[in-house]
Amino acid sequence: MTGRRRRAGRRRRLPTNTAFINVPYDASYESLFLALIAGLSGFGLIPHATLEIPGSERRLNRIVGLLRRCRYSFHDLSRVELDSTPPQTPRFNMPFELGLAVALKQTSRRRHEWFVFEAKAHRMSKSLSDLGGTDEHVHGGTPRGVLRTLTDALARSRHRPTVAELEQIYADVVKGAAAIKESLRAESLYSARPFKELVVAARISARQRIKSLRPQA
Amino acid sequence: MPAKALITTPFPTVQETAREMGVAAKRVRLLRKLMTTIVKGQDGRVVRFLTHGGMAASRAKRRAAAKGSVTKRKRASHR
Repeated sequence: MTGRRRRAGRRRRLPTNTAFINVPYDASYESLFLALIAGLSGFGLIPHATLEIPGSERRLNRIVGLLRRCRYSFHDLSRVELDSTPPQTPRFNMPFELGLAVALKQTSRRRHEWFVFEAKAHRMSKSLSDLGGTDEHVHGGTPRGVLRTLTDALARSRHRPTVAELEQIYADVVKGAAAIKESLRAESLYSARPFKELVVAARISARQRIKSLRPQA
Repeated sequence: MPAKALITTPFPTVQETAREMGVAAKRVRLLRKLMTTIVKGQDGRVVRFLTHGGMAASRAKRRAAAKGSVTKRKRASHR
């Protein structure tokens, strides 16, 4: 009885080092996707994305569930232009998920911090003027830019990674991604298993590349 | 939105990350070998490692051991 009461009273603790990444899943974004995984791993965060959850659940529920679990979220609004496939449409998924994150921060008691990434400076003030006064992190569409913007957005109290260390992790993750893709016979990195393995591979690299985490000789 | 978010949580271990992502311990061991090889700069071995040198190779070794060929070879090398 007391055990049951204790179990009922105990609230499930959610991890505080998880980060939701809201990015376009297209081939031209792959290098930036790897840079985000490498960079977040270098900062000691565990990236999560909607692609890692089985498809049987309703997509929107998956997104909300994942966002709730994550302490941070990173939203890339680079793909606001029309795509080439007819009928030509802009991608609304990323701004929509950003809206969910903003609503979560406003309504939930759990702390959540969101960041907006863009490829071009000042474009967000035109495409999403409701976020006026919010500074977007402009990466210029390059992996180095992504790593630099991550160091602008995040800081660690201990084991602070430098941009050079993040670049080393990124280089390792690019090589690891090729081997993982080959080993899983995966056509793309945008599926559950390659993504999960990439996150673990990036953590292994981060622990070896960040100087203060290396075991002292 | 704050200019910089300060992360105060301890740096997660590989095991913690694997648990959070649901990656099996056996696969983590292979990934650890792969990434250590990459970090050391021995890139030539990378592709061979996960394709031929991983679980497929250990399965082949077990099969060979069951036939007795490996044990005989090992026995011969010990002499």
